[in-house]
Amino acid sequence: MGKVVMGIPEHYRKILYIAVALLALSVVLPPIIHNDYLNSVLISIVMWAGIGAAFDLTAGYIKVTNFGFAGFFAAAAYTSGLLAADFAISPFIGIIPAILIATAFGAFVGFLTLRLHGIFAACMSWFAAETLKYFLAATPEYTRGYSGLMVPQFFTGTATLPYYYLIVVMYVVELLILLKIVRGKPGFAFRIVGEDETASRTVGTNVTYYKSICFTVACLFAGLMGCFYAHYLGMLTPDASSLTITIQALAICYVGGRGTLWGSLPASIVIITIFEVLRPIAAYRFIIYGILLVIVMIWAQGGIASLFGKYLKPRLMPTG
Amino acid sequence: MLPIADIILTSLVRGAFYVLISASLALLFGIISVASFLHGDMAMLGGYVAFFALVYLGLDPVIAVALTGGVMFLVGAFIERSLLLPLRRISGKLWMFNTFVLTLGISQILQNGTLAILGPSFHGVRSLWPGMIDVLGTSIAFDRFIMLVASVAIMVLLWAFMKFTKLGRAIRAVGINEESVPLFGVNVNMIYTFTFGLSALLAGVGGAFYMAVFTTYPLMGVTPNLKAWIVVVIAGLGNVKGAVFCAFLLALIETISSYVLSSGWPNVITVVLVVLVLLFKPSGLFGTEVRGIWEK
Repeated sequence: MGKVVMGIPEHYRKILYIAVALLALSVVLPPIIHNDYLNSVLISIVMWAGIGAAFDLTAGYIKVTNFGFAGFFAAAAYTSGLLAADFAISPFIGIIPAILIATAFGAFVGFLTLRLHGIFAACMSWFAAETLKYFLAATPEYTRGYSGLMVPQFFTGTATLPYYYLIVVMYVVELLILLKIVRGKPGFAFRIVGEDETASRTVGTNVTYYKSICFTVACLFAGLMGCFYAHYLGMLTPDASSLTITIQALAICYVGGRGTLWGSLPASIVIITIFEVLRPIAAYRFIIYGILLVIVMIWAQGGIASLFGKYLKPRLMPTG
Repeated sequence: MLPIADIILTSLVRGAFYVLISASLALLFGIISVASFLHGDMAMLGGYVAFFALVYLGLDPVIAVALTGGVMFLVGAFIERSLLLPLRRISGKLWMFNTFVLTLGISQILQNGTLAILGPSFHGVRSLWPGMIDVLGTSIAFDRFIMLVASVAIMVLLWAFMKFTKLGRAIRAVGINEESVPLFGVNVNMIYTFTFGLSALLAGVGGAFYMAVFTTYPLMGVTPNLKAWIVVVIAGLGNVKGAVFCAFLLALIETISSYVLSSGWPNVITVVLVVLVLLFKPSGLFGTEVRGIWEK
């Protein structure tokens, strides 16, 4: 262990410098380059990195792959969207009840599912999300169903730069909070619960409590990203709660490296860039998710993050 | 007043399709602990194979279905050998979750690969056996009736195969205890491959029937996949016999609710039903028999 300066070990300071430098670049460069197309690509990169990080909290730590992720995402998106569209509440205020709804929904589903064993929990949250999707589709008088809910956007006008800064702020806040959580006692509990549930119960860990906490926090940030998604795109259909959103979150999380939280950012950069390059085949772009998932599952369980293995503390390494 | 005979017939035909897909999933679950996400796409592929066999090769329907079964068996066996076997070597406790994610990836490749190659259009054939037949005082298209009979026949064959042949007994033995069966000279890896192939065969034949009655298209597998999961969860994961009953039960519930409720709501009902089953009886309605297999 190296020197400790200002409470930060030397080892971390390098990582911290790199992170701060990246953040500074990402704040300063876009207005200089001033290209709307680039901005929109950057927005989706950061948004998917945030979604992937929220997914990672359950997939990487308590080892529960949340197949109903999109449900919590859509719950918040629709709450905030409906509040803004029907009651003219500013999206910046509507975000708060929306996140609360997603968190409550997450706590409810988590409480119900996490008593169940691994695969049941995944099924259960998947079915919960499907229920929400069918429910949204079956009540078009409130949600407009598949004809789509027009959602007022965060900012008036067509400039993309404000959205970019908003999502960067959201992502940085999310990442800092999540890293703070996994660094402390809860993070330790999450890891041992994920590693061996029976053993952690034997040493007195309240498994259901920590699993629920983990699940709920993940849903909270899924909700945050859902709100951004709604008010950025300006349009919602029940498909926000469909498996396609979950698949994208899952792929980005797995490709980035489970149990790292930050791994979603490089994964999102790689995947979104591939998509932009292969724009002509956009109709079947999910084949790329499929191929990447197969590769990550069989040959590279650590994902992109494991490439940086020798520069990292074990805590930031993928758990595979 | 509900048209009872209509409801029974519709749900039998609907159930005949569900039964093959659900049995395909239940087999994987019960025997080799694979949480498959791609049997819906196996049905889609089976539909395409049958379509090409019927239209381009001009085969007799019965031979076309047999050919579909054979081809799908090979496809399933190939997927197991090339992708699931390496995964099994590196997965420990999380094997089931890993198969869930891996098969999800494969299903994305299959769906979008088909979409890229064949385009988003629908492929179907004109009714193979035209005409109507009177059953229970109400009439039903003859090919649907044949599909119902054939599905039941296939399930009976599957049951007889599992019950009376040496290979079937070996498969069941692997499902019960895969550590000890090698001691009796069973090649476990071969059983895994065979079971996966068998499951692909069932799904593929189901897809061929579906194509013959309706149509097939690249994303055709999405709904059957969800339905099969619902059936298998209601029945108890891995219980093939239970899955057969629950497939017809689900079809019955769907048919009744589509008569009673406005469109969109039957879907909500079935998913809520499965959530309730998971809550109050997570081992499923028929789950006692194979309890413990998925918990290892």
